[in-house]
Amino acid sequence: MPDVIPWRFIVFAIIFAGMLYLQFYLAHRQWRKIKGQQTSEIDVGYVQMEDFLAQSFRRKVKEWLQLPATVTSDRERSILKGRERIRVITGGIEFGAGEQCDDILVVEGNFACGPGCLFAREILVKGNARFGEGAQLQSVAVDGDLVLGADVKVARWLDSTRELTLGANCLVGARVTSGGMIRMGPGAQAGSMFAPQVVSTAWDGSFPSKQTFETAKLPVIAFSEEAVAARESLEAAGFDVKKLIQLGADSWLYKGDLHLLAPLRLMTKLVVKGKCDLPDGFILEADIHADGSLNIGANSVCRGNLISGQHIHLGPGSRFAGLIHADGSVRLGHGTRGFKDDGLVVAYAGEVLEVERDVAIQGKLAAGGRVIVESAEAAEAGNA
Amino acid sequence: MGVQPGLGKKGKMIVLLLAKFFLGLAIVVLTLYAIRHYVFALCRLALRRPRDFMELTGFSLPRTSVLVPMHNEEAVAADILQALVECDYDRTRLEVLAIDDNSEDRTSAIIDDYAARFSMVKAIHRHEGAGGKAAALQEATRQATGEVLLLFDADYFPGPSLVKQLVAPFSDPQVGSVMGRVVPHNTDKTLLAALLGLERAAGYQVGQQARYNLGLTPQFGGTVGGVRTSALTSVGGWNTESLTEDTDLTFRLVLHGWKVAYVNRAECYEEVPESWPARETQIARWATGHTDCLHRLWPSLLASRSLSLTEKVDALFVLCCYLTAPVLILGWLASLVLFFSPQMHSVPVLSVAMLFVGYQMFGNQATFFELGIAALLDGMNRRVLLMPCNLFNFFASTSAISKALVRFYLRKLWGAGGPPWSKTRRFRTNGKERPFANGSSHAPKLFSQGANGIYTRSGD
Amino acid sequence: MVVRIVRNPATSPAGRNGTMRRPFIYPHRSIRSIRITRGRIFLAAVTAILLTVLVATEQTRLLAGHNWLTRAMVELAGVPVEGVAMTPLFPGLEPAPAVVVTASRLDGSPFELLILFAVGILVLLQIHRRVPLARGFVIFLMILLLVATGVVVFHPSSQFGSVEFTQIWMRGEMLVWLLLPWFSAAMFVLIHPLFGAAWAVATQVYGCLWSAVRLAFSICLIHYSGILFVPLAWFALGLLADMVYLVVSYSIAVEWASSQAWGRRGK
Repeated sequence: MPDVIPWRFIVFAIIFAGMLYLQFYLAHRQWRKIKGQQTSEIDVGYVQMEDFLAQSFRRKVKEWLQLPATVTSDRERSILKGRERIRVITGGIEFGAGEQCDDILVVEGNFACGPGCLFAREILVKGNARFGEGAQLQSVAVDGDLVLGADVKVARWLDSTRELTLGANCLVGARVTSGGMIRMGPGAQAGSMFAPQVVSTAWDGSFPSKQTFETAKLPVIAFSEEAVAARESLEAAGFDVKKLIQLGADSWLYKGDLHLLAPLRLMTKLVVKGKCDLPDGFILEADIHADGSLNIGANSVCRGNLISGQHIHLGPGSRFAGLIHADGSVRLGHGTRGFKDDGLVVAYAGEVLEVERDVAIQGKLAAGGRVIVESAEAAEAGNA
Repeated sequence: MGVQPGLGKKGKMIVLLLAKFFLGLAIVVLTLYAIRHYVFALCRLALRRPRDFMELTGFSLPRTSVLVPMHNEEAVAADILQALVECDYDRTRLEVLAIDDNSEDRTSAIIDDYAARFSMVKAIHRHEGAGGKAAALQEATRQATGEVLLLFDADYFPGPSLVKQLVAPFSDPQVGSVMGRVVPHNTDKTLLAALLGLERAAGYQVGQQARYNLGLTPQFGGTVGGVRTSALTSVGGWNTESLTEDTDLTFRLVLHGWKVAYVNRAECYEEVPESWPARETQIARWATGHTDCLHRLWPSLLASRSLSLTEKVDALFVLCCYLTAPVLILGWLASLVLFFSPQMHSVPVLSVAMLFVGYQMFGNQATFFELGIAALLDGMNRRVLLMPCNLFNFFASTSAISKALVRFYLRKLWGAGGPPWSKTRRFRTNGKERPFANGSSHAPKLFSQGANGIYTRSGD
Repeated sequence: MVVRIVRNPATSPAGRNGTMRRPFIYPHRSIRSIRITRGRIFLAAVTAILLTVLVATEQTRLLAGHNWLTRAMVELAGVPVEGVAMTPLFPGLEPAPAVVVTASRLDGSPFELLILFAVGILVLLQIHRRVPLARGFVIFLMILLLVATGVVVFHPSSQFGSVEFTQIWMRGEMLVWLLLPWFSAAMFVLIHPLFGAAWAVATQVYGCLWSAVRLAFSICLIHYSGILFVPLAWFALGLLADMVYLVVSYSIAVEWASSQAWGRRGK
């Protein structure tokens, strides 16, 4: 019988089959574990909502405050949650210079700290808050005004329901949001700033009204088959008609660099497959895209969106009412105003968004790298 | 040579030559695709700042029409309409065109119910004219008033911010079309669905995003995406003859000078096939439609002046992708013939053998590399362990695609028209079996958004 | 933008050496990336070069060890080994020792051939029926079985023995071992440097051991059924099996790297 049936081989074959199965064992085990459990989740608001982290922190604090607390003094109680300690302070608190705190702080009044303090956990202040020069924080949510002294470093986010002031050379790792106004000191940097009003140093306090948005009468350019065929007006304006191709009913494509010398009022959406330089006092009534850099002269008015595959420079004293988006950097010249009647505006740079002095916008400044305000020295040099 | 009895010396030589040719072809073609997969995966993995328009979300709200074509979709119609009426887009600038395309079930009644209750929902009933999704879209486009048309298939479930996220890139005047990311929600139902979830992740998280980052053309998938109305008009509207009108539109747009944007953050739940027959129908349609587009568009793509050389090459890679399945099978069969040939035992050239090994093992590995990178970026800690099972999915898809393409070419050879459009089977049953079918006019909530913002399935 | 908080050691409370529990906000999955630093690339290159050089310089010992393991398992399976023959691989590479066993000649035993063929087909049909996802794969295996049967019946001179099969096998495996370090480096080391380098070595070792087991099983098949199941063994247990363990290994590496990069909250 052993000669007819190769038992040892059969045993080997069975072991071999087991070894083959082993290749798929982990997969099989995981499948049995995850079967019946939804495994992919869509997180709608995560970080994308401007004040997501601040709101999320406020919600968590609400839950934590329900937990049993130990009273440590007449003005303070502490709550232990896992390895975290939450210090709840009734009334206000003032930290002296150089103090450090490694607990989550919930302050039910006003908060103040001297220079050089370090707070390694989140802080929620239900009154106003003021941080001294050179303080280092993780993140702060304030239900009032928030003032940061010079050189304050914030690892994550800042949020206030009213006015928020960033001192000179403050650094904020992620988003800064405010329900009122954000005042950016010289050299301040952040991931993004979002508020009904965001202003930089030396802001003159003015926001132009709709009327002041109206500008001088300029030659009107609207592309159409007839206009392109007629050539004269377009060539006089500086366009090479041979490079113009119609993309859609309301948009045209310009194949090459575009360098206009005289101001115009451009009414049609335009895609420039190269660099685009527009002179001072230009009026853009429609969207413009440039594959290369987009330079817009001083005192221009942009009602359409400004998009560039590289960099955008908006000249001093310009106004914009749409979106600004550059894969590279964006520079908003001094005196720039960004606003529109029926909503907020946004300027975004894939790398760095530089904001000169006296810039005021209603909406958001954001960057893949950072938003940086012109330093005091640069501003002085500019003024000079 | 053990191929056929009675085969003469000349015949053997021809068979061997053919085998070598097909093996060589398979090696070259699949190596090129493998390189492409590796490049895309590494580019996506390493690129620190992907291109996106997410910071612009909500700042530009053009008038938008959402088109939802439905053919016998009573099981899912209420879910998608409910999701759309709950979205956070400005109601005065949004309309939902629910298209009942010759439905024979309760789809029409569900659409009418929503149209009666919500002024933003418009019902369109089609009972004549050509069938199929493209024809339905063509008719709806005529009635749409939006500057932007967004499209959702009926089995999709858009979250509240999705419309805002998808319209954001249209603030760029050169963007003609936008594509969002598809996330399967039923990956826990069957192993096939779980594997398709991994495949989708690779396709979107890596493939689409890498193409967008590299300045190539992401593909508009005909759902969870949109098209600028003026761009659509400029290329002559939907191609009702195409089985994959989305692919067809993508390349007609780029040929005209428009760009396609991809928004990785614009995630939308979809239902992937849970059974193999449904998957086979789906992939057969995609393969046929894609290859049909290839035959129609390749001369224009090569001659185009608006596309760069790399864009042209990538476009051809995209359109030829389903042809790799029969090439792979031919390569396998050729290597089988060569296996029994005495030449196999005396291959002297190391480099040829290297290529063979590279193609057999590492060429096929490339798609898995992409899956892994997608899983890594998505943080699919547990699900990624299912990856080895995808090998079976790979074989199954290869054979299904090859069958579909053989049918396609036979029809072409006999001068027959293209195969009819076939809808992918739905597996969700809540619209049918839950209260909606019993008289309630509210769709049961399929998903709910927790306080943490995470959208999860409420349970079946 | 990453802003780091730096403690002043002079004023910092004792035992506090870290800065923050979580120094950055987990990016949403849509914008995540992993920095491929020069250090990672260097480590990947070093790992790949070291492993390749090790395989190239130690090929005689590697092949001998592989053969020893194969032979031991063939003997354990009850198949008499007639000896070891040296078989050339490629110019520039050492010849490989091959286990010699008698190969069954089924062309002279049609009844045995029929039984084995029927058993093979029945097993494959069962898998085809029960595992829909594996159908494409099974159909291809059936084609291979049919072709092999055709060869046995109509062209028996094309049959070969364990030495020729080992030669084909080792040609593929030797190249896999030489190329594998580069793919391991790209797939493991770039996504997680230290774990990746260790994992690349482990995968290489596993690859060599597992190859010997698969070859031993294939040689046993040759002994009992001639070339009837050899194409199946070559297709399913050869380079494809190499690909399977690489995928398994890769999936484990990704799971590790993912949990390290994003943690449980990173989903």
